[in-house]
Amino acid sequence: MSETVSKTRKAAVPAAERPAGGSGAARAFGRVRRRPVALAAVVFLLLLLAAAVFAPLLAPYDPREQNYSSVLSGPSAEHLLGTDELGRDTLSRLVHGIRIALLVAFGSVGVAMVIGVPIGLLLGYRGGWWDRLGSRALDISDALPGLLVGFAVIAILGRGLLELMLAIGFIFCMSFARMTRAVALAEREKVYLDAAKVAGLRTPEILFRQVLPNLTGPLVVQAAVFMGSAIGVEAALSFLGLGLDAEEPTWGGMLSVAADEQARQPFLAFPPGLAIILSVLAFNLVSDGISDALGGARRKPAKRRARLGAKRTAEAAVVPAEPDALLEVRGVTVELEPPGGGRVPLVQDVSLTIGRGEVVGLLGESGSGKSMLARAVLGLLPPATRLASGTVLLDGREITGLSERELRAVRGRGISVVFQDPMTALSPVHTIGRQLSEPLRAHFGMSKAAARKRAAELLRRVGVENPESRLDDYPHQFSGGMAQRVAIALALAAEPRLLIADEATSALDVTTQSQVLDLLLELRDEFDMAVLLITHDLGVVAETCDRTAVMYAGQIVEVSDVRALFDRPRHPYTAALLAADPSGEVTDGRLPTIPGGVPLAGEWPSGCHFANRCAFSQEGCVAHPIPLADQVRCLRSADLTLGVVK
Amino acid sequence: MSVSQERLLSVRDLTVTYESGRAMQWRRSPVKAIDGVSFDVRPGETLGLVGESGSGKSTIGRSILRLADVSGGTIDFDGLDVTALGRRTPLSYRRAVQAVFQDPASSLNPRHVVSTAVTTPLRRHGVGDAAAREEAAAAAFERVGLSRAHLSRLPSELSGGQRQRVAIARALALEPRLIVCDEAVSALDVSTQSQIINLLADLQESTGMSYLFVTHDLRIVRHISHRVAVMHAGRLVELAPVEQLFDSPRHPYTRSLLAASPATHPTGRERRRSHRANYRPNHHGPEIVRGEEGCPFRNRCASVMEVCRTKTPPLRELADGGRVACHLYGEEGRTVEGGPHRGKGRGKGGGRGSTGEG
Amino acid sequence: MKKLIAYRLVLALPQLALVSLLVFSLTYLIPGSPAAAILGVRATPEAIAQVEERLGLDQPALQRLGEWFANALGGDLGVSFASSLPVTDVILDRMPATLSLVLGGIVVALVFGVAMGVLAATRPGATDRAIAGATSVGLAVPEFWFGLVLSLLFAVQLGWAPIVAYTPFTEDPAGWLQGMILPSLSLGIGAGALIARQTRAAMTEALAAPYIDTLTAAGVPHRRIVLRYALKNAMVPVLASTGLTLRILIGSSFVVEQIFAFPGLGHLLLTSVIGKDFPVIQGGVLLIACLVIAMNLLIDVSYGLLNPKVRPQ
Repeated sequence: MSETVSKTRKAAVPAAERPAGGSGAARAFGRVRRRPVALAAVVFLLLLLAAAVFAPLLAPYDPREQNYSSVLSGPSAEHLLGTDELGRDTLSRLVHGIRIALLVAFGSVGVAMVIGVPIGLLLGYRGGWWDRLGSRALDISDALPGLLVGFAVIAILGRGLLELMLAIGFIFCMSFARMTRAVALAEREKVYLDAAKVAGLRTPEILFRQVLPNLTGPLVVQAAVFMGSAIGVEAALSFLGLGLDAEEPTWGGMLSVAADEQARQPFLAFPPGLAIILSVLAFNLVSDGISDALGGARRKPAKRRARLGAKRTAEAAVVPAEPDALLEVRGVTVELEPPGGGRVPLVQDVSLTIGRGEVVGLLGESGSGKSMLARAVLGLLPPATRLASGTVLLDGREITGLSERELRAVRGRGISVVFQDPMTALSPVHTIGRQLSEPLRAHFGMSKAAARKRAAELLRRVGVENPESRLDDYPHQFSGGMAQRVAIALALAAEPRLLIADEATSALDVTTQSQVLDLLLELRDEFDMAVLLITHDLGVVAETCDRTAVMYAGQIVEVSDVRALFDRPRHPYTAALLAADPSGEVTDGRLPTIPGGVPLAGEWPSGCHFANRCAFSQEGCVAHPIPLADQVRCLRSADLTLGVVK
Repeated sequence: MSVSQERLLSVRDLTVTYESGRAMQWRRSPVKAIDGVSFDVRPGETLGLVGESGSGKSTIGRSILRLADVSGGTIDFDGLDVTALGRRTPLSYRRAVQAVFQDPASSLNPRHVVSTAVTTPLRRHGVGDAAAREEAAAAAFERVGLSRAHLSRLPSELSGGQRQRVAIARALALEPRLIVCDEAVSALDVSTQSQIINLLADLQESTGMSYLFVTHDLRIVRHISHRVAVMHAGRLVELAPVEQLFDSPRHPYTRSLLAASPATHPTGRERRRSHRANYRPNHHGPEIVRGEEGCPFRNRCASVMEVCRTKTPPLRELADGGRVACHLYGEEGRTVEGGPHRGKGRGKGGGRGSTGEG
Repeated sequence: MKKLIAYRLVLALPQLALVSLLVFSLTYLIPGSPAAAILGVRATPEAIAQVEERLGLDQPALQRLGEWFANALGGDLGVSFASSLPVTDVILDRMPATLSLVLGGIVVALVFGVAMGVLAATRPGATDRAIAGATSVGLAVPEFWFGLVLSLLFAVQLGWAPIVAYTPFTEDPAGWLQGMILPSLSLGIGAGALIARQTRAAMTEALAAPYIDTLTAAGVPHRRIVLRYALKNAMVPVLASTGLTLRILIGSSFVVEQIFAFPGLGHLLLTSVIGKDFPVIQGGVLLIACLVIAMNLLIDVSYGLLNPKVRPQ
C-alpha cells in the first residue's frame, strides 16, 4: 500500500522538479534551497560567520574596555545595547562573542567527529566481538550527563578555548560513534554490501566507498544539531565560570554578569540570551532542512478528513440497488492530491458487484490500484487521496459519505478486512485477547469477561491451539501463519457480511497459504459472508474464487466467472498474464512475456491503458477512454478469440 | 543448452550453525541452520533449491558466496575447496561465482549511479581502464535489455524489474561460471518475472554458466531448473530432475508442498481442497528441535511410521537416480507407491489461454 | 518481571565498573604532577609531597585501584581537600535538592511534552505548525536563561521572592512544592520540547500503522484507538530515549540551580572543579553515574513492561 502511494507520488512530481543528474550533495542543496525556513537559517548563519570574521570592524568599542562612568546603563545612542557592571559595551561584547561561540561549535564538533566516526564505523561494520566490547565502552556515556563530563575534563585540563573544545568534543564524540555504528550496522544488512563482497571488494574499499556515502547525510544532520548544542554547552560552562576568562567576551559570561546584576539591570539578560537562542535555532533548523532534503521525509500528521469518503451522491437514489447484491461499487474514482497540487487518478471508474456469500477475486499487479479500491470501499483511504466520484452500496444502502460515527457501525459488522502482514496489522504492544475484544465490545457491547470468552471461541475456530492461554500472548509470539489466523479472527469478530482479504496470504509460505485460504472458504460457508480476495497471484484466484475482476492500471479490464477467466480470457491483458505465469507447463522454450512495464499512475494514456503493450491494439484503442462493456474493457473483445478451450 | 555430467560445484555434508539468541537470553545456543547437505551443480545446469522460510535454502547460497561461516563439510568449486580458504577469498573465485539477490530495492547502493554497480567490480578485478569499464558496463546493460540512458540513473529512478536487470548485469560483467540467484525474481510482478526468467535462460544459453536458483516458489523453479533440490528444516529431503520431482514426488514433504502450491487452473480445486483437508495432520505436535534425532517432518507427515521418531532418515539414492531422505524408501521402511498425490488439474497444458497470434 | 530486572542489573554492572575505572583514572589523566596542578605554580616541594601522599600517588597504581574500589564499595570515597569532610557526606548532603529539581523537571517535561506531541500529531495544520514552532524555540532556549528570565519576572519585577527559595521536602512539603515551580519549569522546558518532538513523530508513525486501520476497519471508535492503541505504541520509542533526556536534565540542573540558589550538586562540583578538589569530583561523578544507571534501570524495566518484545523469554 505505502509502496503504491510513494510510487504514485514520484510520478506526480512535475518533471522539472525531479533531480536531473548531478551529485547527491548538489541535489540535496537544491532541495534545501526550496525550503524557506531552512534557507533563512542558512543565511542567518552565514551572516553570523561574517560578523565573527569582521567583529573588530562591527563592534563600536573594544569589548574589554572598561568605563566606570557608564556602568549598567540601558540601551542608549552611545551604547546601543547598554553596558555591563564594568561599563563595557554590550554590543561589542556580543559581536566578539560570536567568534568564540562559532569557534567552539566548529572545533568541538570537529573533535567529536574525528574521534567518533572512525570508531563507530569500525564497530558497526566489523560487528562481532569488536562491537560487543566497543559498545559496552560506549555505554559509559549512558551513565554520564554531558555537562558532568565537561566538568571533569576541565578539572583535568584547566580552562581555555582549546580545553573547552576538547571538553565539549569529548561529550559529543560518543554520540557520533554510536550514530555511525548504528548506520553502519544497518547498512551492513543491506544486500548491496553482500554484492560488493561477492565482487571481491576489500574492506576499506567497502567501508569508505560504499558505507560512508550513506553516512554523510545523517552525519551532517547530526553535526548541525551538535553545533547548536555546543553553543549551549559553551554558554552554560562560561556562565558557571568554567569557560574562558571572565575578561573574554563570551555569551555565557555575559549571562553570568546578567544573573548577578539582575536586580539592577534586567536588560543585560536579553542580548546574549537571544543571541544564543537564535544561533541554536538556526543550527537546528538547518539540520531539519537537510534531514528533510535528504529524503528522510518525516511523516506528517494525517488529516482525518481525508479518510472519509466523498459526499453523498444523488445518483444512488436514482439507480436502484440490485436486489441480490451485497456490495455494489459504482463508478469509483480515487485520486491522489499531491502536495504540489494537481490530481493523479489511482483508481478510475471502477464498478463491481459482489453477491451474498460470493468469493470474488480482485486480481492485479502492483500499482493496479486494487488495494486502493479496497480502502475506498472501507472508507480508509490513505492521506492525500480521496474518493473523487462514485458510490459504494452495502445491502442497498449507500455507505460513501457516511459520518465517522455511521461508518463505525458498518465497519467490522458490515465489511471487515484482513491485511497482508499480520505482524504490522496487529498492535505489537497489546495482547491479542485485548485486541480481539475491541470489536466485540464496540459492536455487541459485551462485558470484558464475555468478550474474552468469545475471543477464545473465535481463536479456536480459526485454528489456534490452546486459545484461552494464548489470549494473553502478544503478536510477536505467533508465527506468521498463526498471526494471520488471529487477524482473521479479529476481522470475523463482529460477524461481517463481507470480508476483504487484501493480499492476506501473499506473505505466507505455500503450505500455510493454502491452509489459510481453505480456512477462509470454510468460514465463508459458516458465517455466510462474502469474500473479496485481493491478490496478484493467479493461483490463489484459481483455487479460491467464484468470480474474478482483473485490474490493470487503475481500471477493471475484465470481470468473469473464474473458469471462464482461465479458459476464455476476453481481455488481452488477462490472456497475456495467464500466458506469462511461470507455473505453466514445462517448456524448453521461452515464457511468453508482456513487453514493457505497468505504467505508473499519472502516466496513464487517455485511451486503453494496456494499448502500448497489447499485441492487438489498433488506432481506435488509443483515441478515447474505453468503457467497460459487457464486463470487458476492450474495443476488440468481440472479434478476438484469446483463450484456447481444451 | 547442454548439461554435462561433470561437476562444477560439489557441496558435501555442509553444516552451518548460528548462535540463536534474542536480545535478552542468558545463554546463546548454536542452532544448525544447515545440517549435512550434499549436492552437485553441473556446468551449464540450473539447480533449483526450494524450501519454505527458515528451511536454510538461502544460507546454502550464502555459504557458497562466503557470506556465511561454514562449520562443517566442504564446498568444492572446480577443484578449489572453498571451505579450506582463509579469511581472504581468491579474486579468481570471486570472479567465477556471482550472485543476484532478491530485494531490488536494497541490492544497489542508493547513493551511486547504477553503472558503478558494474564498473566497481571490474576495477577491483583489474579489467581495462576507466573508459573500457564504462564501455563494458554499457555492453552488459545492453545484454540485459537496458539502454545506455539507464547507466547514469540512480537506483531510485528505476523500476523493480530494471533494478533486477542491473543486478544481473553486475553479475554478468565478471563472466562468472556460477550465479547464485537468491529469490532473484520473487519480488517482481508476474509479467516482469517472466521477462527476467527468459533473460536468465537466454544468458545461460549463450554463456554456458550454471545457476543455483534459490526460491520458495515451486512454480518458478519448475520452469527454470534442470534439477530441483528440496530443503526442509536445514536438511535436503529430495533431489530429482525437474520432471520427475513434479510428476512423481517422493518425499511426503515435497508432496505436501506441491499439494499446497496453487494450481494454474480452477479445475479440480474442490478435490484438491478435500484432499488437503484429509491430508492435513490434525495435531500439529510440538515444535521439533533442530538437530534432534528423528525425521524433522514427522509431526506433519501423513505417512509417519515408528522409525521416523527415532532415526533421522539419510539421503539415499534410488534406482532411477533420484535422491530422497525418507524411511518410506529405505531398508527399514517399505517403498510405497501412490500415497497422497496432488490433484490432476495442474501441469501439462491445463487448458490455459495463450496470447497466440489470434 | 524479576528476570527482566535481574537481566538489566547484570548489564548495568560492567557499565558501573567501567565508569568507576574511568573515575579512578581521572587523577592519572592530569598532565604533569597532579599535586603540582592542584597546588599551583608556587607550591613548595613539601606541600606537593603532602598532597601526593593524601592522593595516594606515592603508592603503586594497582594497589591504589584495589584500595579505592574496596573503599568505594564500602561507601568511603575519600575526604574533600577543601572541607576535610568525607566526600560521601558532602555529596549526599546535596542530593535532595538535585533530585527534587530533576524530578520536577522530568514531570514538567513529560506532561508538557507528551500533551503537546499528541496534540500536534492529532491536529494537523495550524495547531501542528504552532507546536512545531514552539518546540523549535524550546529546544534552542538555554534552560538557565529561561530560569533567569522567570526569576527576573517573578522575583525581581513582581517581588514574589519566596517563590524561588528552596525548602527541604522534609521540613515543609508545601513550601518545597512552591519553591519547585519556577526551577522545574525552567529545567523542564528544553526536555519537554524534545519529548514533544519525539512524541509527535512516534504518534504520527503509530497513527499511520496498519493496526490502526485494522481496528478502524473493525469498527472501534477513533478516540479509543488514538488514546489506547496509538498512544501506547508511540510511548515505546519515546520511553526508549528518556534516558538521554534524563541525562540532559541532570546536566542542566547543575546550571539552573545557580539561578535559583538551590543547594544542589552543581555548586559543589563547580567549586570543586575550580578548587581542584579531586576526591569530590571523583565521588560526584561516581555517585551521579550510579544515580543515572539506577534511573536507566527503572526506564528499562518500564520499557520492558511497555514493549513485550524485549521481555526475556
